[in-house]
Amino acid sequence: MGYKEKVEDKIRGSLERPEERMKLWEQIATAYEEGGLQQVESMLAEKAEVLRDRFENVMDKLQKML
Amino acid sequence: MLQLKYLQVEGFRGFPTKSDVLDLATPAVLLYGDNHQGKSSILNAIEWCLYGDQCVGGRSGIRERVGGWEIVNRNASGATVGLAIESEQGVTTIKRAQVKGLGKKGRSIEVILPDGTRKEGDEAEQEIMRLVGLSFRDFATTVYQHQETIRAIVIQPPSERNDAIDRLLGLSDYLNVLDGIRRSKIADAQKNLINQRKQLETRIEEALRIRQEDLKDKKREAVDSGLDESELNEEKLLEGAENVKKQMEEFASELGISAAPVSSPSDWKDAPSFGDEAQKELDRLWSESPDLKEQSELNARRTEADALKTNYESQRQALGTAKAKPQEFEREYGTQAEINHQIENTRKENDAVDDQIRQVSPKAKLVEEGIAVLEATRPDESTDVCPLCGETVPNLLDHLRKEWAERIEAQVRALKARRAALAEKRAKLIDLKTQHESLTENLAKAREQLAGAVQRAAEFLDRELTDQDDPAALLSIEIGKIDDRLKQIAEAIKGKRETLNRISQSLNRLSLLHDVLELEEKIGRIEKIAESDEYRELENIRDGVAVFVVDVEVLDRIVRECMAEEAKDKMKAAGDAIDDYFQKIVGNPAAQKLIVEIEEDKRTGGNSYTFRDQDGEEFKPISSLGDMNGLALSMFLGLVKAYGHPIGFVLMDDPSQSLGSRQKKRLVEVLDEVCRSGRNIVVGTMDSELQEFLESSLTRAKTIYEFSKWGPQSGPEVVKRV
Repeated sequence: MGYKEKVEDKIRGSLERPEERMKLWEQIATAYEEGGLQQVESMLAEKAEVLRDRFENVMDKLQKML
Repeated sequence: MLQLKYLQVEGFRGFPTKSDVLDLATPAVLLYGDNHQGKSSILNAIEWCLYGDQCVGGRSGIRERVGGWEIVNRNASGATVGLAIESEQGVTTIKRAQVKGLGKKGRSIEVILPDGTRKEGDEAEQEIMRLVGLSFRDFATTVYQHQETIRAIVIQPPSERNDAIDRLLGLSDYLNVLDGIRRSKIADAQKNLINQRKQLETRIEEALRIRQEDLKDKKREAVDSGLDESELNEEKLLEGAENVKKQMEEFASELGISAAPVSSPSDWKDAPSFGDEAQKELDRLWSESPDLKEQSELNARRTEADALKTNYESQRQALGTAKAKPQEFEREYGTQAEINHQIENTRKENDAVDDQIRQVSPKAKLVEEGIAVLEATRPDESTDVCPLCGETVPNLLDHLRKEWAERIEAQVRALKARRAALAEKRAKLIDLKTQHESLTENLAKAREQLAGAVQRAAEFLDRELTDQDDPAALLSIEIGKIDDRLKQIAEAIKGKRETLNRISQSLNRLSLLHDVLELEEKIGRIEKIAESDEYRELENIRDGVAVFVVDVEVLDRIVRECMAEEAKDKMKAAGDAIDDYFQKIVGNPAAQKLIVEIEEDKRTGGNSYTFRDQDGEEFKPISSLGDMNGLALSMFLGLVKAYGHPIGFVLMDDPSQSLGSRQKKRLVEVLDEVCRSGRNIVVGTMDSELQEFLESSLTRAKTIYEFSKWGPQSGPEVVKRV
């Protein structure tokens, strides 16, 4: 069993958010297989960036309400 | 078990040209030669032929292959490796090639199965995996002992040694994924958002404080303007607007003009537009009021009357001056007729002197005139020709001048002086005559300008003016009348202006009321910002980020757990074999038993390996570099033994890096044991002592290849010794 499957087994056995974490793990593993650790880094950073953009967009709206 | 049969390389790493076919079928294949002679390239070629790109770059898990590890030799256009492997089904040949500079397009793989079937591309890759049955990671851990793994364990500091042991155990994928997660700095992004949210809270509090202070100021201003605090509401504002409208209608009526309708505000928010509209209408009514219009016209007329009066008085004074000047002149120099008479007398007197000169010397006049003519002669004309008779007389001008000076001048000197005096007198008289004429002209002009001023005053007063009238007095009377009327209008305007000011004050109160209501609304909005959709969305995103960060952290922990479990499983499976090899290779009397302990590294969260002896004492402090090298080899060989995979060969690259003589001999005894257990070995080494032990102590058949004379164009010279 490879590293990917071993991690998947553990995620399946976890109580909280197994489906969401499995999906995230699949994205991490796919990124790693496509472009190594740099791809993992950029994929996660990109996800954080999307959330940050949304956050800042709403922040702008709230600032205007002041 | 799978066994290597033969290998041929061309253009691969240290081989720019095609090599001979290397026989790898004997139980021991020994590759001898100094550094950089191509030994490692042979071992690399076997690995690359089986795994292709998996063994290149960061994904390989081998640090020396990250960046700059080139497949194709710099002096070759492409690389080709052919490898034959024997299994129970027969011989499979594999040919992998890569053309330089073409990327994926330049890569090819071909497999010929024992039954002669040819496979290419993905199908060929699948056949290789089916044949080998081992992932690249397991191959790199249990088949191919890289130089780097020995070096890292022997030389690196403890923290990096743990990393090297992880990689020796085939845990590179876990390590790389963890490294990628760590580098993404997800937690930092979350901290940044938390900080921004805190700043927002501070800004909300600040905005609330400022608005409340503004509201306090506006309320005070409204009370100062005459409003009661209880009246600061919308009802009062709308009532005030109606009142303003009523005041404006009354004002228009007072002015005698009709007011345009102004729309009433429907709620307090309309107050600014109502105020603007009302102010505009108020300005119009005021500017169009009859009193104001008349006041403006009278002011203009008064300004004109002042100007006419000033102009008339100025022209009258100028005429007086112009009249006085000729009178003074005549008193001093006589009238125009008297001056003319004197000029005539002077002329007659001059003629008489001329006659006297002619009588004194008849010749004098002729000589004087002759000199005058000749002196006026042009430079190119002769002064020797007589102007009277035309005859040529040499030096005539000089002769006449001499005649004048010696004989005539004395006789007429007094008469000529008299004539000069008369000429001077006459010139003065002519100048006086010119002055008198100028004064007379000035007087005429002054009269004309005064007449113009009188004419303009007559037009302004709208009546005829004769010499018997005093325009200045008439204009003064008119100015007095204008002033009286302006006083009356000012009185009338004063009352209307008071009305205008009252309406303006009402409008100002409406504006203040509006500002108060607007600030109250803004404060209410800020106080309820936490209930807004936007704020809720912000909270959702924040929670989403927190969940995302927790998910990543949980996955990070799971990866570490899996890595630790796999390390423990492998050590458990291979522990006895590792201890056995360790005792055989290292032979350290202080360590009769090697126990590998795996714990979590509290600092990094990764695996931490501790090696203990039979008494539970930590082994590392007493170990030499040779012991550490032996430990690394023991772990590799222990994993080879424990795994029990179908690959029947082991590749070892420079295994004796820091071993002492006894340890090298012991290593060869272990390798002999490996060979006798059915696994062939391919060993690359530059160590002549190890070479001697291998040749003398390996009991299985061996093939030796000696690598030397490597050149960049030719590659190494490889000599086979059986």
